[in-house]
Amino acid sequence: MRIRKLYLRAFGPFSNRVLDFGGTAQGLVLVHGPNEAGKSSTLRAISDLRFGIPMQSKDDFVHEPSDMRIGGEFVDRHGKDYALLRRKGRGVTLVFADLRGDGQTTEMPVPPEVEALLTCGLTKQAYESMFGLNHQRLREGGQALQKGEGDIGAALFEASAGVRSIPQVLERLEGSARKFFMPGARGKNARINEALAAYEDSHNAFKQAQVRPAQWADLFKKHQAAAEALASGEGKRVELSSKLLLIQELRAVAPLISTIDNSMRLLSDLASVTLLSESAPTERAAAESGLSDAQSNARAASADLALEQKHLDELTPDTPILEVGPAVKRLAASAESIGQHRKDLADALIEVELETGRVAFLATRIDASLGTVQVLGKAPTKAQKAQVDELLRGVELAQRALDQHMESERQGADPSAKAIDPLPSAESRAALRVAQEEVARSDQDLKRLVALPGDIKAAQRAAAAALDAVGLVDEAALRSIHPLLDAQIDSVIAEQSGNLSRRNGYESRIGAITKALEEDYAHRERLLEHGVVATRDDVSAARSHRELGWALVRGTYIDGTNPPSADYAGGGLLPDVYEKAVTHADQLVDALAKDTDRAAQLQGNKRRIDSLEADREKLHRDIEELDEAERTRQTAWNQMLSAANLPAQPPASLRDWQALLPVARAAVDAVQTKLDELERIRRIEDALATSLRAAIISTGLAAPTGSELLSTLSAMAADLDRTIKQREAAIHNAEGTEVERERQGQLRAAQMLTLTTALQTAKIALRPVLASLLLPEIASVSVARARIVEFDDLVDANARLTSAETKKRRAEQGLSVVAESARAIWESLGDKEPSDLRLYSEHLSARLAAAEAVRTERTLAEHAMARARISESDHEKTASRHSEAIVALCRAANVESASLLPEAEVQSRRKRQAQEDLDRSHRQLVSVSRHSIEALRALLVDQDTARMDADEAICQREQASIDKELPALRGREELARHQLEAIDGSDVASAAREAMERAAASVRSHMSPWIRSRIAHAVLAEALTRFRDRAQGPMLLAASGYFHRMTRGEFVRLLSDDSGAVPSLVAERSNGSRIRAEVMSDGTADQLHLALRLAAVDIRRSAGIDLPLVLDDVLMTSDEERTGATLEALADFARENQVIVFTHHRHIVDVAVEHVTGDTLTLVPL
Amino acid sequence: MRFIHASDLHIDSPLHGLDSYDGAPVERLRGASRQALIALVDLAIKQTVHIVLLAGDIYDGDWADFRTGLFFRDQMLRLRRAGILVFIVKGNHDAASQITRQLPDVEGVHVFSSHTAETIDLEALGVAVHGRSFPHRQVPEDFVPHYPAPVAHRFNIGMLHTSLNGREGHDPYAPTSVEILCDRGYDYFALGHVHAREVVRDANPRIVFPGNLQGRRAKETGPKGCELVTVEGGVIADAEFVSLEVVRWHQLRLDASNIQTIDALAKAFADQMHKLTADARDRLHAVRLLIHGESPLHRMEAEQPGTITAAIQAATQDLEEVEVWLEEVRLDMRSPFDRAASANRTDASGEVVRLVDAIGGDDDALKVWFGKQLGEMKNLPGSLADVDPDNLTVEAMRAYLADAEATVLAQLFGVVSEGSSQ
Repeated sequence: MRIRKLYLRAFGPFSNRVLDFGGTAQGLVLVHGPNEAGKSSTLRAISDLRFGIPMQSKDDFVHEPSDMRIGGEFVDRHGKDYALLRRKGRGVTLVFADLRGDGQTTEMPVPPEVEALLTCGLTKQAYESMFGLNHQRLREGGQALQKGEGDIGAALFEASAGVRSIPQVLERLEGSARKFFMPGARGKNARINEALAAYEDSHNAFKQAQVRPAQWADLFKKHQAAAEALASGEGKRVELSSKLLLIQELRAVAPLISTIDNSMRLLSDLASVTLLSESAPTERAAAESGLSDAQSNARAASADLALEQKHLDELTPDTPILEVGPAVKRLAASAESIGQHRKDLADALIEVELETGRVAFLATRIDASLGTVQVLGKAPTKAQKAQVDELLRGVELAQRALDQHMESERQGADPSAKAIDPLPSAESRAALRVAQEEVARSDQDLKRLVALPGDIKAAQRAAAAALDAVGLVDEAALRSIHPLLDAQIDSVIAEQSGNLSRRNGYESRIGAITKALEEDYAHRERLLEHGVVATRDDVSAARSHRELGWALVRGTYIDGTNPPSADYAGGGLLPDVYEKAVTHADQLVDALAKDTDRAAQLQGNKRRIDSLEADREKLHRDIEELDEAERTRQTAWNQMLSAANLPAQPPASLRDWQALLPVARAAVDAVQTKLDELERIRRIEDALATSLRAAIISTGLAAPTGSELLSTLSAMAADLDRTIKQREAAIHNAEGTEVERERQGQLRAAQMLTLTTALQTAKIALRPVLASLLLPEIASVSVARARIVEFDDLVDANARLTSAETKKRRAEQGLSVVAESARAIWESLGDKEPSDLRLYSEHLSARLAAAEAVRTERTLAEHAMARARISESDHEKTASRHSEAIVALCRAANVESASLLPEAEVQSRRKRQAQEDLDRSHRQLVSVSRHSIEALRALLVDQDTARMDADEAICQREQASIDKELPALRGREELARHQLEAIDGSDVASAAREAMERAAASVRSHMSPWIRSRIAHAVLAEALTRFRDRAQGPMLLAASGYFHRMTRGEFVRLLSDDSGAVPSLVAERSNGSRIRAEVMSDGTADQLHLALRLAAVDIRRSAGIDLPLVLDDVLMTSDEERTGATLEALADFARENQVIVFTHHRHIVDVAVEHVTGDTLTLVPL
Repeated sequence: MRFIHASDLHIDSPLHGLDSYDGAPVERLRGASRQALIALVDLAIKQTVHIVLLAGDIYDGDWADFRTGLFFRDQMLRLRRAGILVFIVKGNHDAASQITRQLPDVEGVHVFSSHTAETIDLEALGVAVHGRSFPHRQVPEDFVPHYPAPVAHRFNIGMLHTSLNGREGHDPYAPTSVEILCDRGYDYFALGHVHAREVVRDANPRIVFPGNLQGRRAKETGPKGCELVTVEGGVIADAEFVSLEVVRWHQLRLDASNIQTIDALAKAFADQMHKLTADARDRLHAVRLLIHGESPLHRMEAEQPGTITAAIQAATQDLEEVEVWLEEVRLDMRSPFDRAASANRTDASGEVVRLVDAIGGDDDALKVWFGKQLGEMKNLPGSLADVDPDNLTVEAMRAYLADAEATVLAQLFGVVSEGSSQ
């Protein structure tokens, strides 16, 4: 059904727009318009009118979806007209309507047969494929022909269906099938091929994993046989082992049973013996040993006690020094500050002296006629200074006002008429200038003069500190010292050191002798513990005494040669004494004979003691001689120090002390250097003041009194200088200002008078102040200010003086306190007043330390005595305890004395040993045999060693034989067992079986899609063949005509070339030559595709599908010639079929008008 | 006294005839029949039962691999160690003639004779168990009349592997009837052979097919397991079914007639799966899905093969707290398509339709044409005979042909249907 008019009631950009496609609805319709004219909406409207407006329409951007309407006037092949209206919506959307009238619809649904005429049974997509063609699809069709290798079936099929690239579809289907399966070796990667390969692999794995029942049964039987053989062998071995064990058991129990019998007999014999504890011998030995040790230790403690007592007696305490010990320590602590006090005192004395001179100098500088105190009394207070300053400022103001007035008067006055102060003489001004320049040149020295007092003070403090460091009072003391040479000091030190070394050696030897003596004394004490023993010396002495008595008796009473000797008799009768001597000597001889050994020891002991005591005495004498020599050396040393004005110090300390002297000398020299510099600069200052004062006086403008300082004179000179300059200026200006000055003279005179009066008043008020400042009345303001500065310097110097005096008093007080402390001590100790407190303090400290050491040693000796007493008591208690233990042991052993204890212990030990042997044998018997002793006695009845040896040898042979066989039997059983156990209940084969099923499932799952793709490919390929066979003739015939027209006769017809494997499409030129589609140009291929499409529509129309062909800008790239030819062909085609061509190219309209006759062309502008 | 009744273990029988293992949880499926037996033994030990009855077809035939028997023996030893007695009658798959007897006996496991029916009287438990094993695979006669008389004062249990009076899908072995069973005077008949659970008679006597322990193929759907029976005072106090399967099979049909979109189809599938898995969310559910009906979805599938399967697969992944394996999606769909009108058209599409009609019009010609197209698929293993193109039925060929037509038209035009889109 063809369309005559399209009513765009409400669609896209259109509202109530009517497009008239011509009354006959045949011919070529050219719809044209510029871009954005609505071409695309019109194209969609033509399709939507027939097939419905889709729910997701692009053309509802102006009208509401529910308002969208398209209408059309159609005519069927029988000439019947239809006016139909389509709305957007669901259900029935196509109705009949009066489109030319008021547009009212009949609300009558369009019957199916009419709708079928409208769509010819096609879907919208099929309609658009078959009857729609745009430039892109035309080009694709041309390219498909060019790529289609001339397959005429595919070409006709594509043209017929309006579809693209049949070869690609075939290839896709073939590819899909091959993805699943590919026959032959090439198909390894296709899914079914892979699955089949996996199936085969799994099947093989399954077969290999299987264990057949017969296989298992065979292994089972083998294992059973091996196990039985092993069990038999092991059973026999167990039997032999049992037999061997029994033999070994009997062999082991036989001696045990024998021991049991012996032990029982012994116990019976010792039944009456008391069983002592096992530790009884040890306890006895310990008690006896302990008793002996305790007694020995008690004696040793007693000896220690006596020794300590003796030592204590030898230690004499120095009580006086200990009583003043705290005072001595305080003095020693205070002595440390003596040096500081001395240093402070020296500083203070220097400062006092310096500041006193400074104050006097400053006071003299202010007024030499007055005393220092009077000048200080004139020093203004702060309030006075403020008042003076105010008065001075008043004078200055008045003077400045007068000067300004006078200046203005000078400016206004006639200089010639003005009275101008004369200038000083040129010589005097030159002298003043020279003097000022001299002062300026000496500025560095004058500044140095200001700093020097401080430097001198610092140098003096340093010198005082250096002197204090060496313990000297002043510089004179330093100068008087004559240091010793180092060689002298070294010599003395060597001598002192040698003496000390020798003394230490003597003391060390005395200590060793004393220790040896103590040991010998102790040995003698031990020898004499059991009574006095006569030695050979005693005997010799007694015999000598006896022989002397006999000589005297003989001489007196027998020979009569000797007078009686009272010395020998000691007041008694000589014969009696002689007789006693004889008796005594005999007794000693007897005593010596009784204990010769002890006597010999005692004799040796005595001789050793005598020798040692003699040595010790000699050493003591040597020490005394050494001390005397040391005292002599010390005296000589002190005399040498005194002669050199050196302090009494040991040589080593003196050497250190002397090392400090150069420092002190350098410090003292530095002070002197600075003092010399001060004097030099003061002389310069005085000379400058003198010359400056003379210059000032020579000007006649000022008259210094002669006591001014250089600074005052400098200020005065500066004033004069300014005055002279002012006068010079005034003289220079006087002439120019004289006239004016006269004219204003009177007025200014009055003002001059006022100002002069004010100045005078101020000066009068200043006079008392100047007087109080000890200045003349004429002194200027600057002079007054300089005087105030001088007073300030004076006051400052006086303050420093006061401070120095305070410091001096404080140092003196400190030294006094220390001296008082020392005085209390020396008076308490009865010492003489010391010459040097520091040395005295050190002496006291040394004495106190020695006394404290003695006291400490006494305390230690007392403690040692206490410990010795305690030890003696403890050892006595221990001895008593051990005695008691021995008594207890005797009681336990039932013996009377300790001497019987060892025998009792031996008996007890034998009894215990017998019982232990019995018990041990019983235990061993139980452990080595499960049989009772009676059973064992029975088993041993017929056994002797030889028989047991024979039985054991037989069993061992048999056992060795079996042991050789057993490993092989065990190996066979183990191997068989492992082989059997290797077959377990695992699912190896089952898993392989499942893998087979998985592979099979994979084949199944891919089989269906493979068959589907394979069959689809076969259906399409065969459909192509059948379509070609059926439609080739008519389509090629119809297409040949259109192609001939489009190419303006270049190609006369289209043919099927059946010479190849696949029939291909060729075009024959007018000259008879033929070309295949793939070698055609793009434009010619596009024309060929269009010709085939027109032929397909022809065939469809003949089959009853009569719908307009809609072309959308298919000619947009063709040249004018080709476009004209194509339009002519389309016009021919449109004689039987409606063709609607859309374009927005204006030139195509022009070409159409030129090439297509008017009755077959309808132009529809948008 | 408490006992378990199970049958048809078919140990080491793989899951048969699956269409696909793609995406399958292989580890969970591995040894499913073994896992089910282990679960049965675990249950017996946990429930401290006194007896386990196995009513035949413990194996799937003579063991291809001896390890199958060793595995079963291991499990019996577990029961023995727990003091549980086991009674076995052999069925058609594990008949005396089928299984080569090699395994050492396990004490406490009694296999009934295949020569005659016998009785084991367990006086201590108050139970008498009667039974007879299959001597051969084929047992055409009824064993029951020859079963011993019930033992007085005992709870009498008869064990028998039988198809009863015939069960669909099962060969008729040792046929008998409920009446004959009732006449025996026993209290409980523990039957085997039928893989679907069936309580043939509730009581006096209670006659039960417990079904197999694990579904071995897609058609063996639903819960699989054993009967747990408690006897008190000589009567059944409680009897319950306990599911033990590792994988539960489902066959699901989905009508797509009123379903227009893929999403709606996936949702319909998910809804049904929720219902099917509600009572057993702790195990694996294997699903074979059949989608049928006339639906535009068919066009989408024709245009992009695999679209529907992918959508359903995605839907299974979205199911929460339950594991689902989509074993197969079968499509029996058609498009709304006027083939008659299309066949009348003179263009290419009409040519395709007319060609399909021509090929499918003659069965012999159809077979020849298919043989020609699919002949390159050769020498498939015997176990894949069901999918061998040589064995395709005429109906299957026509179905494939229809699929091919839809695919070609879809590939040509993008869409295949005719008719209004409104």
